[in-house]
Amino acid sequence: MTEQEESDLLIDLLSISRRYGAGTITDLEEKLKSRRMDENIFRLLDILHNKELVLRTISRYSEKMIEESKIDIKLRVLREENRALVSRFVGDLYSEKIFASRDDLLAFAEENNITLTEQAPRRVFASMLIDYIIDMPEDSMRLLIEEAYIRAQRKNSLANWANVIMSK
Amino acid sequence: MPKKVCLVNMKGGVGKSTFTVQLAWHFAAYPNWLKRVLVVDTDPQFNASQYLLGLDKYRQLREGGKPTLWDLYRWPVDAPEAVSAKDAVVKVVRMKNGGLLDIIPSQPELATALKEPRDKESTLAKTVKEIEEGYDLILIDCPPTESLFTSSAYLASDYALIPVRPEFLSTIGLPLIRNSLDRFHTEHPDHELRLAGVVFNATTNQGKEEQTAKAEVVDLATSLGWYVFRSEVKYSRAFPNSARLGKPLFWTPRARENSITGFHALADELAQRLGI
Repeated sequence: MTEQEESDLLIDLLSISRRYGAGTITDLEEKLKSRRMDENIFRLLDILHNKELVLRTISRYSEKMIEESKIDIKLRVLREENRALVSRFVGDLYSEKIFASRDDLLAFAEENNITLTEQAPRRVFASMLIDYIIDMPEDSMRLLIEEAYIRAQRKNSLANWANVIMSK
Repeated sequence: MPKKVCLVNMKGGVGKSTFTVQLAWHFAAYPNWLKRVLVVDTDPQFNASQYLLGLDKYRQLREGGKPTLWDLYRWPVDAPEAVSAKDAVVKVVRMKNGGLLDIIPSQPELATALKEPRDKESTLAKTVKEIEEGYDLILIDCPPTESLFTSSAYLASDYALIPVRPEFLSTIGLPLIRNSLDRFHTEHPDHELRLAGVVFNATTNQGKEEQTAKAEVVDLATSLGWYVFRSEVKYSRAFPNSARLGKPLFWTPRARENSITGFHALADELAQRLGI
């Protein structure tokens, strides 16, 4: 954003503030954090521009929201017993509770013959992994997610601790 | 010559003392064996002493000025206060057909020996040597951290036996033992200390964590060339009961037959390993 664009935006915000009251900007800030508002803005921008342009301009947070929306669609068609598992996995993956490092994520993908771009950061890997997983048949999806949790647990293993302790 | 075995794990709560005492009782008092067994309690927590002697006897001995392992560590051999190993031995049981069980007890003050460990590493080996002729099996119960007492126990033993509970944190003691044994072998290249093996203690055969922990232990032990006992000590509420009663499992009321036979199988496997 240029200085001129920033100045124009501030004038617009001042105008909104005069029209709707002094607390409007704070309220708007809160609303922008909501998923619903985020999706509405995305739809609006989508109408105004093509999707690539939108993806370049919306925030990192919004990217995540789009991915989650795709997941929501998938979740609706999953069997009930698998729905909770997939939701938990997506949450754990984005919050870095599972495969906290890029290398861990890459190693898991390689072990399961999932091709991920090598230069991408962890966040992008996570999105690619989720894209891959939600396109899988349901039973395979479950097996892969279970394997992911087993692998994550294996990291805190006797063998790994033995390597640390015995290498000293 | 007796077989001298130290029971070691660098993790507390794996059941070393209970296991040591149960083994001692088994070889001393079970009809098939009736061996002459000595337990040496090198842990300042003195659980093996509490188990084998009970409160009254332990208090009586202490009040009567009976020396413990502490006295053997605290005075140099040529000091006027020095005591002999024989003075510190306490009789626990005498069986009609020759089996016997003795203990050199410990006391909490033993921990003070760690403040000045110099020249004390061979104390236990000298103590054991002085009295070993009277025994077929000497079991040395070690404290759960590496210290003067661990290296003393290694030096006094021919074998190290590692009890391990199949739980994640318990298993982490194994690489620490490996380091400890490596250091000992480097510092004492002439002393042959063999590993009798790793024994799973307090197993329930329930839950994925136990299975995982067991598999990890077997993998690590295999990679280190350590023997893992086929027999296991199965968890039983009768073990704490037997400790309170001061009796072996096989004389504890309501101890299940499969717990008793399971322990015997383990003891038999150990006897085979040691050549008893």
